[in-house]
Amino acid sequence: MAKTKQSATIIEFEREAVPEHATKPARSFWGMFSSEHVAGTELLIGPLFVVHGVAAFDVLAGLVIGNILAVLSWRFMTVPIAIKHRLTLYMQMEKIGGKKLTSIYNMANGLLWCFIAGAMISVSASAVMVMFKVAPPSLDAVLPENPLMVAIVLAVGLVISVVASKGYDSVARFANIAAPWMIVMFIALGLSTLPDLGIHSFSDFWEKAQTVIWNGSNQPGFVKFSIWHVIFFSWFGNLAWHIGMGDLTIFRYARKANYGFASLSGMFLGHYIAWIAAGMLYAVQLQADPGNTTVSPGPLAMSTMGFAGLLLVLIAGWTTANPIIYRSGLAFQAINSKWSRVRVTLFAGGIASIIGIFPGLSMKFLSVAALYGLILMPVGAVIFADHFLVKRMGMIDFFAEKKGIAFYLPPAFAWFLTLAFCLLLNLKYGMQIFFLGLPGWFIAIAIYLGLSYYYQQRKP
Amino acid sequence: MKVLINILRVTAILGLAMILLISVLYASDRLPFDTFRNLLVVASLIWFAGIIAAVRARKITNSKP
Repeated sequence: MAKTKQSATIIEFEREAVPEHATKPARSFWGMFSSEHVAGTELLIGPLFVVHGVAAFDVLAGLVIGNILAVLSWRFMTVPIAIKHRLTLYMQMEKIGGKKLTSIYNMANGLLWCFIAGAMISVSASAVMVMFKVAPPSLDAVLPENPLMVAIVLAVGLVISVVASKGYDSVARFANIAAPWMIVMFIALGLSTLPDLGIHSFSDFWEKAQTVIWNGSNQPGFVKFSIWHVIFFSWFGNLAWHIGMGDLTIFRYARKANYGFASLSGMFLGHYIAWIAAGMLYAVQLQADPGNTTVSPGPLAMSTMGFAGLLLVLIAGWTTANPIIYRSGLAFQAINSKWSRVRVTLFAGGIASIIGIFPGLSMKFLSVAALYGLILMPVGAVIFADHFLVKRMGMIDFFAEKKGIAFYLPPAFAWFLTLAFCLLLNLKYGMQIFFLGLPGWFIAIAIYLGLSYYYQQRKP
Repeated sequence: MKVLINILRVTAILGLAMILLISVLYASDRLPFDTFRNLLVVASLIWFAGIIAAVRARKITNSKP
């Protein structure tokens, strides 16, 4: 799910359009997506589907539908905008909403990345905890249960933060080397669970899938998932990147809009095979001890793959957390360019490490991931409307840039009012967080267009 | 040097192939668990050693005038 190691090119052409000669061939995007979306987060998401009591058909079919919707979102929403202007999300945002609004976006983005990085630090720490024989936190734990666990998470967080503060290149290089290995190890992970689950043929698989792995019974305190939950989670798991337009930064290097289909590799290696493999791994744990419901990737991988499994957990968590902390630091630094990048990266790493000591974050990771996408989605909706609709309705696009406005109110209101509306839908009408992105997107578009029309009539 | 780089790359890819092969053998009950997990470590080391050596060798080649 998480973005891991977008190539170092993301820091090039920060404030200018990518020139034609710097564009990249399709294979770069296929490779980038397949490595970015096989990450530490998959080790949490797969088991959490089982915890939420999803049925076998619902998960296997729902993931296909949701992942295809995600690919189509990249292809038909993100990439056409990316290759038209070839600007980063931040530059597009600055042209539409002004510098001050972009600073708020940076702050929100930086903080949200700390939460995702915190979860990844706890994933890596779960592998270290196995080495120190520390019991994993229980499924319903919110606060840390063991001082040694806190110490391990903080130590792992410190190491990751220090490495991230040293710069991007070495981490990105190692992540690129580890990516093919991680993809193969996830496949091996799934295969290694077959003997424990008593699966020796395809018919065995389908029977065990329905009765043992995804048997449809959810754990107490976790809402029961239907096929709709699976479809919407797999579609909106990367909401911030496709509909939220985060991947403008990457796809501005694409030569054609069809390069958006490269996201197929990430979706089906990471968000299909890896999620299913991780779910099967959790089923092995439950089968051995139905009372052991904790979702802790370290012990899970150790039980079926031994030391190599621990290495997978450690590297998958680390290679995800590291670039996220680095980019979180960059987002904070963008607020004030005088701040030292090393210090803000350490600051971001410190926040992520502190967040990581709370096991509730990992145990509720599906909600955390959905919330992350939802908070950033309205900005993508504004960019979409500005690109496709504003001119057609007789209004001016990139209004803040053209009029020299530092804080353009319509996109700001579209963002904040959409979130308030989603909160209302959640609290008053009980609409679960996994579904809020869809009505939220239409609301954001409507608010932005309505307020832009009103504002531009008054200040032509 | 190019030949050496290619040999190192092929070695690394063989490490990945080995991971898949031993996983299939383990899944079909033809490999005991202890052997499986030890071979996983060996295969992983082959991948990392091969690919890191190939990257270094390529860097040395590229840095030569």
